[in-house]
Amino acid sequence: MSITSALNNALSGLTAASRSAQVVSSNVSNALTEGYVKREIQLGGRMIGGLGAGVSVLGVTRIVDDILVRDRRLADSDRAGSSVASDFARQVIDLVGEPDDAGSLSGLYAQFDAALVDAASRPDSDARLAAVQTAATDLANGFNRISNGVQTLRESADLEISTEVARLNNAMEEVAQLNGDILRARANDIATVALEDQRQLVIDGIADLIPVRQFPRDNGTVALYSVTGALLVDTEPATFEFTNTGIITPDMTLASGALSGLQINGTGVSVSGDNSPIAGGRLAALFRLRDTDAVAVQTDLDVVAQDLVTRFEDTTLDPTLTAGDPGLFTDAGGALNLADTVGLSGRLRVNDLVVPSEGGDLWRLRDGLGAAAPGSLGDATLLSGYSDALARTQVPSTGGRFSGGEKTASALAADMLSIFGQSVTSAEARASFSEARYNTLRDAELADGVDTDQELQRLLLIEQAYAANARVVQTVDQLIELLTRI
Amino acid sequence: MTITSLSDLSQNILLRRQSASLRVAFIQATNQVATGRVDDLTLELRGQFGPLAGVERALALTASFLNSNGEEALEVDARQSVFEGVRSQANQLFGQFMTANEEVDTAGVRAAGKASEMAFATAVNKFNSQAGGRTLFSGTDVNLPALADAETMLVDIENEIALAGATTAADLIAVVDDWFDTGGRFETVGYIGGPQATTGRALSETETTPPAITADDARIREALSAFVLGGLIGRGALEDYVGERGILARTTGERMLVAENTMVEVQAEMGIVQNQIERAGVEVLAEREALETSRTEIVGVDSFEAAVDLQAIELQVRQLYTVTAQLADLSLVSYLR
Repeated sequence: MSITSALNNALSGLTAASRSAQVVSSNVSNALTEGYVKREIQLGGRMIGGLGAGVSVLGVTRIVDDILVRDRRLADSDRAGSSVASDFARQVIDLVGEPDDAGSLSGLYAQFDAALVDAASRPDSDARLAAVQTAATDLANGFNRISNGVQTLRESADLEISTEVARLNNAMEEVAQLNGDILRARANDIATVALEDQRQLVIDGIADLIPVRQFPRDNGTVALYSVTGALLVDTEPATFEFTNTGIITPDMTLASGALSGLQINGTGVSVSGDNSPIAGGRLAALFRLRDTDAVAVQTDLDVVAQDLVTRFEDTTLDPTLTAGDPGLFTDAGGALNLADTVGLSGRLRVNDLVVPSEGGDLWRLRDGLGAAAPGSLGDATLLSGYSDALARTQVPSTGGRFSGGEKTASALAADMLSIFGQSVTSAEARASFSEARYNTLRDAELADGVDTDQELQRLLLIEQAYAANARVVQTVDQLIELLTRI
Repeated sequence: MTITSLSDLSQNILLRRQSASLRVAFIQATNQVATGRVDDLTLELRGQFGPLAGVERALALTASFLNSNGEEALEVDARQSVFEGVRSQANQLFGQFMTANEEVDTAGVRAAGKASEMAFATAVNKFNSQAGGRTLFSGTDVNLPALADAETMLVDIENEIALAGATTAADLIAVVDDWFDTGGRFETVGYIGGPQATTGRALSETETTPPAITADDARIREALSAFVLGGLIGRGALEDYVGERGILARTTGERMLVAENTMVEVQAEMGIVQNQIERAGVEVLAEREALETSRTEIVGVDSFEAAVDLQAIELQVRQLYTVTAQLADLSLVSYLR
């Protein structure tokens, strides 16, 4: 009967209005929740037997632009990766120190130089010889400190990789689990919006580490692959394996087997290069830091240390030395071993023969390391020879990133700093570009979020609709009463 | 229906991000104003640290070079005054010997001789003098005296004369000359200092003074030998041979003149070194100023510009705060009450 159907229509209208209000309230309450996707209710005409019969709630949809999400995730991976590189470049500069800082490597070279001039002016002064020994020790310590600092950065990267791999494994399992939950919910006709929100958030977390491609599968599940084709989650989540190495020294590399690589589901995979399954993203950047960038920095540092050692390990400079004896600067007390220069900067020491606290004598700085007894107090030959040794230009050994021309000792150190400085410049340019790109995409994505003004406007309409439907119910009720009074 | 809207969250995040970046810029600007130095040097220099490192090194060395310069000047000036003292003694004794004629004025000659002996002792002391705790004429053995005691030398020479049995002025002079000659006993009995230094002091990156003169130098030996001859007369050499004494006295006078000229020659040499020291000092000072200017150019910020930047950023921050406050009011919620 038309009156009953009118009542039914009105009741369906009330239901629809209440459901709409529910969606609006959900949106408004989550206006500031990051990762919340705006919901919209879909209403459609209800059909019974081919005839219209009120309104039905078709469902609640998530207003999300998948393309935008995909691009934003890729930008996020890029940003995470480039920020690792730029942070590292900055930390290296901080370790070495800028030249106008007295504690910087260039500053220590300058102080050593100055101490030599002072001592050559008065070689009879123990105080000045002591100043030379102190300056030399400070210089060697400077190299040690920087080398240790670089290795510490490698250790942090290694530790961070293991933490992130654990987080990645958890996230992939969560995605698989959420896939299952969504599948079951769909089967039972339960709304899956909240689960989908949660899954999107978790995948965002993965995108930080590895750039991902998301593919929709049947029944609301998704498959997750890395951009270079590694399977992350399909029906089952993948498992990543990585072993943390506690203490890292310069000779330990991925190639030597001392450091752990990455395994996916038990198979080793490459972690470097554009075809690596994890290319792009934070994880790959951390591996690059540990295995390429930090190693290059260490090599450059070792080249500079070697240059310093060879200038002083010279029998024409100090005739009291025999060939094969260590000079003023030693490799952990011994002479330079050309076959083993990796990590030299960490092992650099001033020869014990001139360090009083190690049983040495200051007069050897003046009279020669191999001298049997103190010589003439006023003899400045060796000391000014040391000054000349530093000021002489020589070609650094190969292996570093130097241009290969002849340089003085301090010019070589400054060159090294400049190489590091240029790394900062290019890394930061890259990082700020990817940061800007990420921000733009994120802003565009967020723009689709909850706007409380819009929701409140909608609420006004819903209020009106509810009131109208209630009025209809009231009127129908009155009509029926009229009928029953006949 | 598609209605373009801007979510609350995006607006909020946008404002937060802008506020944070402005705050970072504000801190940087404040640092630059306060220190007068560029805050982010790596960015400013685009990684090129070569020039700055060179400037810093040169500046650090400047202090050492100026120090060296001062120490060298002290020693060279002291040497110069020693030579002046010896020269004027030689000059005086020349006069004394030339006016005294042995046949007429035996006492005068003897007086001149005694004066020579004292002058020799004084000269030896002068050549053993120190500056800043370092002996000036003993080469690299700066803690040892350069010459043996005057008396020791004279006694040794007298022995040699006795051994040679010299009875004429010519023979005596020959013995003395042999004693002071290269390979003579002066090198073992007279000069007890060390070898000459291989290098002088570094006054700058490019300039070094010549190695210091030692008391072993031929010219000093020449001056000393003149005093010795006079001293021997004073100690009674050839007393029994009056004619020879006269010849010896005259020769001694001539040798005093030669000694004086030799000292003048050495003084001229010292004068050149003194000039070099002074010139190098002035150059290093001028260079230091130039280096400090370079350094300021590289790492310094113009204080006026820095202050203007700071003000501009402050203004921007205030404007952002105003906008944020006003946007917070622009919400439908407040109008639906």
